Amino acid sequence: MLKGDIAEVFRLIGRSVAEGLKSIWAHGLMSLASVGTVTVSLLVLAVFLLVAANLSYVADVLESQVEIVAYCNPEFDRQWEGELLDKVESIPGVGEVLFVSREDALDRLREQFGSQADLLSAVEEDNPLRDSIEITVTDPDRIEEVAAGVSEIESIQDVAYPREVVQRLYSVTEALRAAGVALVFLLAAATFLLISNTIRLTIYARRDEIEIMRLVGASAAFIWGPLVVEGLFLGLIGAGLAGAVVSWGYADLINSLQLSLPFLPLLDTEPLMGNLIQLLGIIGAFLGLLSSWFSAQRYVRI
Amino acid sequence: MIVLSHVSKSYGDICALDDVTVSVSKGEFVFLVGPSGAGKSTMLQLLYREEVPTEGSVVVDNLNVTRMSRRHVPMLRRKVGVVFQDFKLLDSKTVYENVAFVLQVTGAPAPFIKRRVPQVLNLVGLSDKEKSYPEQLSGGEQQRVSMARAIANSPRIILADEPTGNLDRDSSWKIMRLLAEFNRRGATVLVATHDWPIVDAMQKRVVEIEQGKIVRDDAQGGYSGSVSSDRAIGR
Repeated sequence: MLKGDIAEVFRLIGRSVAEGLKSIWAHGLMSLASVGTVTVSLLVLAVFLLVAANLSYVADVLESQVEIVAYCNPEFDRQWEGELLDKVESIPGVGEVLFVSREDALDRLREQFGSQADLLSAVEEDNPLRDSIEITVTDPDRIEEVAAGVSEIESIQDVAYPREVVQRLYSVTEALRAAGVALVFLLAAATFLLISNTIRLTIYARRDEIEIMRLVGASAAFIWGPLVVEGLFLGLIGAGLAGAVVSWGYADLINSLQLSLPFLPLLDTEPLMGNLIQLLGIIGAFLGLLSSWFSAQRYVRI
Repeated sequence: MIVLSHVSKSYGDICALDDVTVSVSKGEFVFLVGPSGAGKSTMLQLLYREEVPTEGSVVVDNLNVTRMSRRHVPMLRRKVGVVFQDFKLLDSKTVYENVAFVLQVTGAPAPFIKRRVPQVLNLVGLSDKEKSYPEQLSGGEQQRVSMARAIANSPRIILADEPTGNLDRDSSWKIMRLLAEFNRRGATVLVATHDWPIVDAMQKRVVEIEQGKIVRDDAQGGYSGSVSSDRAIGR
């Protein structure tokens, strides 16, 4: 009995797949339109995700490069350098610590000025710069906390860190994420409508067949199976195309960008593309299933 | 086999059936007669749950159709074969495929289908048309295909809604004789029809409906009550 049931289920699945695929083929243009929308929607989604991922990566890189500069008192005696550094390092959240003497600072400045370094000749006799400590933080979120801790150390006169840059980057990334979520819902709705419409067309084209199936007592699963499979495949094909386009395009973009803007931090194609294609596939399949199920429920009375 | 008790069916303000109570025993052959729009089709539709009554209860082969959940509707429909005026054949399928289709979609095993389809086509006299498409057949032949399809699942009840409505005299007789043959083999048969010469000639049970009410139920009668007393004259 059970064996028979399992065979029955396999037959049902087999027939659903065969009929569903046949139907996709039979509806050439409409199927193409559905697959096209799925592709476009998922492509836009993919581009969005890629931009967001890269921006957030850039933000991370920048954030991790953000450092606190703590300026010492002008009277700071360099024999306490080691002690001072120990104090700074003992503050929780502190990453690396580098002592920059006022002479080193002047050298750096000279380097930055390059050919115009002679402008600095006025200050060279009496170096106005102070000794400083450059501090990186282990977690960019804790930068304020660390800065506050550092400023409490006696020999430190004041502390500087680019608070605004960090916050602006944060808000851009946040806004991008919010916009991305909204856009994804919008595109998902469009895709849903198109696929469910295609399925409706199938239902219309097969109305005679479906009516007879109903009248002779075919089960709901038997009638809906092919419709749901058709939706599923429309979603999957669309996702596959979007995935192909995006992985080809991204690799190309990365190559040309890295030639012209070598310092721009960009995410590598792997594992990014693998994950993205998986995600597109899941979304495509889910949308296809959902919209065809909706149409089947709504337009086929049992 | 079939029990309708105090069944009413209305579509908005229009009352198709009004407090109808009737029962049909196993193995009966019943003609359902009456003018167009009297409620004959609605009554048949209630029996295979294409429609649900507004009031009253419908019991078919011990299944309470009124309270049946959607999930069980397919089980009911496998017990009931339906024949329509417009045949409802699939034009893209051959005669053989049309009959095999109902067996496939109800999950019959392939070897059974191979055996069963020629059997029922033989019964309706269309063994030589297996490979033809519906449009290559006459109306009468098409209706016989649809009858082969209706009995393929060996239903216990056969409902026919104006089965001869589109057919000539000769073909109509063939169809009615087939329905009588199915009945002789044990099926309970209900036929809604306008075809008075046949009803008059066959002298079966006749239930007449007018404006949603049963106005006559003769155990053996003709198409119209007034004529049934001197049925030789016809109408």
